[in-house]
Amino acid sequence: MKKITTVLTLAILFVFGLKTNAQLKGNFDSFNEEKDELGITGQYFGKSDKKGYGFKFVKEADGKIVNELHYYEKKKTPQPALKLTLKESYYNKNKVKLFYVWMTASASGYVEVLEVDPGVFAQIQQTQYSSNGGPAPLEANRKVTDVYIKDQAKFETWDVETAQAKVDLIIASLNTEKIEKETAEWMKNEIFAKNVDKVVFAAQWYHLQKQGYPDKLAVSGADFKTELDMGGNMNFMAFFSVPPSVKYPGQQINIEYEMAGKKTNRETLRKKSAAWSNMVKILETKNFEYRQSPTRAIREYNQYQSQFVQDYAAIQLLYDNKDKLKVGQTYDFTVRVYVHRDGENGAVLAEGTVKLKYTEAAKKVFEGDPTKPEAKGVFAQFEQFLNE
Amino acid sequence: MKSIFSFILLLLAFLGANSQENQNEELGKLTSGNFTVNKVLENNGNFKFETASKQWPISFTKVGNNYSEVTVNRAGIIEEKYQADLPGFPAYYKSETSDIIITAIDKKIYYYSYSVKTGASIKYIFSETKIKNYADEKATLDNYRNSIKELQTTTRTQRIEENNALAAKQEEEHTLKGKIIKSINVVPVTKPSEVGLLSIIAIGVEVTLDNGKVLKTKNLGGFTPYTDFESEVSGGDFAGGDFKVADDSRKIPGDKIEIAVWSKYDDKKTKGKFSIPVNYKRDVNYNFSGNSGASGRGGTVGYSINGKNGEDGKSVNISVTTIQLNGEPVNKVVITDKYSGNIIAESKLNTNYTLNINANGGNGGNGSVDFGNGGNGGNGGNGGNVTITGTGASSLKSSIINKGGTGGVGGNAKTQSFEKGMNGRNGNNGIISK
Repeated sequence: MKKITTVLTLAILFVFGLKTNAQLKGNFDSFNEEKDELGITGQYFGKSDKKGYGFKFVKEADGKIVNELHYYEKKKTPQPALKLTLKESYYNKNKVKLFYVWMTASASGYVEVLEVDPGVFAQIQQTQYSSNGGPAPLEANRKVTDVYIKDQAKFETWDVETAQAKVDLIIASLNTEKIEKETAEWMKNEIFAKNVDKVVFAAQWYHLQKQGYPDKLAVSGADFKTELDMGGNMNFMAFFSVPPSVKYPGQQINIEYEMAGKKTNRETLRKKSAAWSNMVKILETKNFEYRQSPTRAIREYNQYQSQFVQDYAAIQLLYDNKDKLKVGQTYDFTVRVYVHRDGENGAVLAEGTVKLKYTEAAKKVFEGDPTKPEAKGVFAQFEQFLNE
Repeated sequence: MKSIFSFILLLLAFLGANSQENQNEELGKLTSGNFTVNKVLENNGNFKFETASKQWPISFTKVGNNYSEVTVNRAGIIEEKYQADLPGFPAYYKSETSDIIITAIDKKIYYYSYSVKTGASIKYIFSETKIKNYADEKATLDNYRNSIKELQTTTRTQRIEENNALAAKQEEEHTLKGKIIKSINVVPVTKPSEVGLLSIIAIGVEVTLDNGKVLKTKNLGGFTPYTDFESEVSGGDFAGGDFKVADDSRKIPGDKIEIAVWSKYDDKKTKGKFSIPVNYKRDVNYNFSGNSGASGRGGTVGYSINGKNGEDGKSVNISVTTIQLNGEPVNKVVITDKYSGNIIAESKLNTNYTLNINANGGNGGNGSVDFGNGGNGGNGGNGGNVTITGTGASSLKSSIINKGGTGGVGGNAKTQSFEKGMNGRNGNNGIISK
């Protein structure tokens, strides 16, 4: 029995071996006779099924420039199985030949082919973005599912993994260019240009960033403050030249506060205890995906949550300086946003200083109102937290 | 019996702790060359490995006793370099441009991304030995990362201390504390040509010490902190190296900004000064729009299902007088509340620049859905009326938008048995008189 199995195995290997070495045949040989200005048209063979497919670049149709890739399966038919559209700007600026079609409006209906080498196309899917009128954005997680090869001599070189690596390289290059272009566009805005890599402050979060506009500068900057009353809301936001999620992927964000020669930071305090970990959440660069950080508060009354929101690392610093605070005085308060990994700060992403004014109202907020002894001040509440 | 069990536990813990070797030791078990690629495939949250058809070249760079770099030649066509996270005791090799990390454990090379919240997300394993299932491989990697981090403490603390010492040295060299100051020079980072209301001017400080050494603030390329200085200003605010011109021309005496700066550690208060005329070459923007009404919040205690009305835009009178300032025509603008007559704001702007005013009515809030009828939408507020008068009215460039707010949309009925709420009325547009 074992002998028969061995013989059969050898026979199968022999047959498949012959098949692999033999020239593949398809129904689109005639396509190889045609020429086009992008050098695409011809018969291609799928890496996965070894079947022949027809690719034809069509520049014009009905008197209009269309720049389409017509894709034929099985045999030449009057109409192609798919018509994919060239992303013209990628080709005009970078000579990247990317064609796409949305079979349905959902992400799963997206089909893209990208030339990774002359006569070699990667077929790509993505599952993140729905139809937006153009190809899936460069940030989409592109996955190569097959490779189409015109010259069979390239079959040994190109497999799905090789094509995936090349696709990642091409997309990364386009993305770098896109980021640079976007930064140049942002720099045309005076508010951004004058505050990039800085932390800005305001008494209301919506003076820093318009709700729903994290990727667009939609405030005038008129309400950015250089001095804040400690009795009111104290909000801040950082401007970044490049989104941290892009420049520092896979890392954390740490925020350091400095006042009167003393410093605190979120990461050090977060690691002190479970209680601190509950109060100071981990910030990751993946959530800092725009040139404006999410707005943050040293302390503010949050209308939506109907309660005060405080950064405990900032409150710890104010508490550390509580004996120095005198009504009518101002104190430089510096905020630094760092990229952070494994307990160590990396680059400073943004830095800013605001003057905090300790007013009568602030004294009541932080030390308690003598006329309302039942309501504890911020320092007393914080002390309670520390003692727990 | 209990003591034997405890002993075994301790022994296992000891062996476990010692089984985590740093990457210098792990890479020492490997030789640069071609590795079989095991790719992770994901399908609806299920993960499995698939072996790629080609091997990838991977090399390890050793400097002295330490492996400093791993080079993965993806598919033989893309060279990716990864550097040790902590050269004396590495746990992984990282890239500056991607979130991919490389760690070798027992002759398997893991190519993955990592989150402190969710652990490793493996993309590939390069190995000649058998791969386990995804969950087991992830557990191996996560355990390694967690336990090696503890073992890195000594080396990491040493590096942090070294970096802190460097930072402290730099701070000591550049702080003004304990230094004798000869003179202070206050200079704009770039000479501003257009200075108007709310302009931001980056202003740096150069401090010459008695020994001739010059210390500079960050915006001039130095390391002296802004917080070492105290200042007196006129015509705006100064903080963090930026002078922000005031938002109202009444706060700019003499139509110039002035700043005097000194070290907060200097008893003599040696001052540096800077002054520049304000030429008001900047557009001025005011927002007198009414707030939008809140939407109804059916089913919420203390709230109604009806949307609230939007507020009216403020009606204002604008008096404009053309004056000459440093040989150039400037419009002085005084804005008063049409009803109270109170002055709201005063500004000046060069006649080539524009006064932008928004005095729109707020939109009405939408009605919400409740258990029966839908709530009514709130009415839109009316646009504010704007009247411009004075000798400069004809030369004032202005853009005024004072539209009525849109009425809120009536809330839907819960079922067909009930009625949809009424839409709110749109506000009237304001009138512009000039």
